[in-house]
Amino acid sequence: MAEKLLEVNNLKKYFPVKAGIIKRTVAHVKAVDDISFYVNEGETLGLVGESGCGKSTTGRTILRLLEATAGEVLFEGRDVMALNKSQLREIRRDMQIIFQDPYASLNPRMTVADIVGEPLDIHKLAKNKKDRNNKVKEILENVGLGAEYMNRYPHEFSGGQRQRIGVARALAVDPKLIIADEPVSALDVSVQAQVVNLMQDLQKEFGLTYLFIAHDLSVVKHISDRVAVMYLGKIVELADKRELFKNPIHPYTQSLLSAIPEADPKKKKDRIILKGDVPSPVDPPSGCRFHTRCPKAFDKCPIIEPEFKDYGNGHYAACHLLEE
Amino acid sequence: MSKEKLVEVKNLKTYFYTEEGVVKAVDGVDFEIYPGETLGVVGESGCGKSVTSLSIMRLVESPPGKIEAGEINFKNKDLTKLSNKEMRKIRGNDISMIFQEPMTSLNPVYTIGDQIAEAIMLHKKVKRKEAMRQAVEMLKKVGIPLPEQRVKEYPHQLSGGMRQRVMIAMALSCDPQLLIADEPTTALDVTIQAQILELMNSLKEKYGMAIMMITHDLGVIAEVSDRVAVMYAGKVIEYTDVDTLFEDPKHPYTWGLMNSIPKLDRDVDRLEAIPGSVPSPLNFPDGCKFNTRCPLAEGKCYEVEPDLEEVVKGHKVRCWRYKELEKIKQRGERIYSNGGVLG
Repeated sequence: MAEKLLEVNNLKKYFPVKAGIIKRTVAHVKAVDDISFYVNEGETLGLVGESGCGKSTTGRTILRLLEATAGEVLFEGRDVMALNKSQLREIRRDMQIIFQDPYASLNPRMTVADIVGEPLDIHKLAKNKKDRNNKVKEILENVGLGAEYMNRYPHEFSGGQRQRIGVARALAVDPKLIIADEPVSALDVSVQAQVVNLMQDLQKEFGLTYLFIAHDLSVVKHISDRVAVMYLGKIVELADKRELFKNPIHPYTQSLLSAIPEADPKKKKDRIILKGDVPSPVDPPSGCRFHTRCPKAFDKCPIIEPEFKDYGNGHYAACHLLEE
Repeated sequence: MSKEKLVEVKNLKTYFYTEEGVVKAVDGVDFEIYPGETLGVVGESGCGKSVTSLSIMRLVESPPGKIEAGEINFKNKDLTKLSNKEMRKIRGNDISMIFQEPMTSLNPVYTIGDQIAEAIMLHKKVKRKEAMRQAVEMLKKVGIPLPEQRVKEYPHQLSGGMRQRVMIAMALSCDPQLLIADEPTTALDVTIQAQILELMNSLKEKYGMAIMMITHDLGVIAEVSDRVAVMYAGKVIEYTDVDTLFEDPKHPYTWGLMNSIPKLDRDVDRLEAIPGSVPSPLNFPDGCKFNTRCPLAEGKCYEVEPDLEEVVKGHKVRCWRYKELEKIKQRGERIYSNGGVLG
């Protein structure tokens, strides 16, 4: 049985909406609203959902780049929320993040050697300058960039190469968990595959655990072991990836899967086209949050919130239809 | 095909004269569109697919851009020869366009009703009141609920999907014969994308217009196109009907693209990645422009650029080595590496 590396219990993150001259809080954006899941050591958990569903906020709150409103995050059994500043710095050696935009997440005034070397400095992992240099060289080689790139600046690289630098920076401190927040969505199709392959290689080589956040279901399916689907701040379904893609039980997952255009003109899919847009997370619908768009909603759905339960073999979902 | 061509683009070249040098964004593009059909144009960023469409609409900023050579025949009229005034009559009337980012394409200080009505009044010579009535009608056609109310709203009051519907309403308000859609669903979520694609398909059937669909997403291409032009580095490198393209891609680049995306219905351990990245348009290689990334490239590929040649009836490809790819495919082998960090 694999060990749980990361455990998230009842995590909530509300952002205050302020108005008026004295900036009184008038409402809250419930970006993440009571979600629980765990990630086993060495596995990849995919977190998917449309824009505004709270998947990125989840990633950031776990790392305490954002402070949670409520809930618990356990990393190797340690409560991340209770840590003080220096303990937090220490634990971040083990938890790193890769961002979506390879253009915005690298400091344009720093050379690649300094970008990748900075985490080594912060965590005092290099004995001296020469050691630091050697380490940086080794990390860059691990992500497929030669030592000749060390003294170049981010603008000299293509998008795919920049994302490799972002991966190298995360890798520098030899972490256990990497939270990858849409790491390939800004890249061209032909380059996406390079970065996905790279991440898989590194996982094998260094025994990494990934929380892979993305909106592209086919990429998530490819890289993940298990997949969690989010809608308006909640996880609506979570299962082993094969199970989830073959046998989705939540109506939202079903329509999401049917909406993906597939690169096969012969295949005419039975599409479940959802009506309307995702409602605002400021004042989310009562009961089940999906009931305003759900093709199968019935009287109970707008009133009572469905429970997130295991429907066998670790296939979790939150839907009243399943309880019938 | 005996049908009359609606659009015929011949050897189109659009260059940008920048301080760093001449950017040959579109460098000899040929294709045609028949009435009522959808031509998919697919390629990665910088391949010239958007500049091609802007050239047709004559929306390339000049300077620095310039249509250097070629013809754009629309209903047997060469658009490149028309005056700006004549072009204005065609733009928005016979040919309309929708863009990727609906928020930046709509004017934030006018109501959406005003903006649709403006397009109608410009081309149809009707009074404002009638134009407004038609605007409401158009919003209804694109599936916007409560259109009478929505015409009075401003773009920021609408969601991304709704804004794209407004753009489509505006584009269709003068019954164009050709709709150019430049990545119309890229900024939208999957469930909203499905709504918009369905809307476009149903409107196309209803009004019989032709669509030029520009996208980087092979899934969208498979979904909506009748024929497809694959672009790379300013040129069309493969051109055929959609079924043939997906069944029997003949260019190593097309083949690579299709194998580098994960499939929902098939599990592979690793993706086949095309190595390297798209060359800078300031610094294209000699010979075939794909030679820097092509595993099949050899002698001739580095010296002479291949033509877009019809190798099977209705299937054109720009490659010296397509027969080699054929053999490899028959042997069931892959041409791109799927291993190693250097991928």
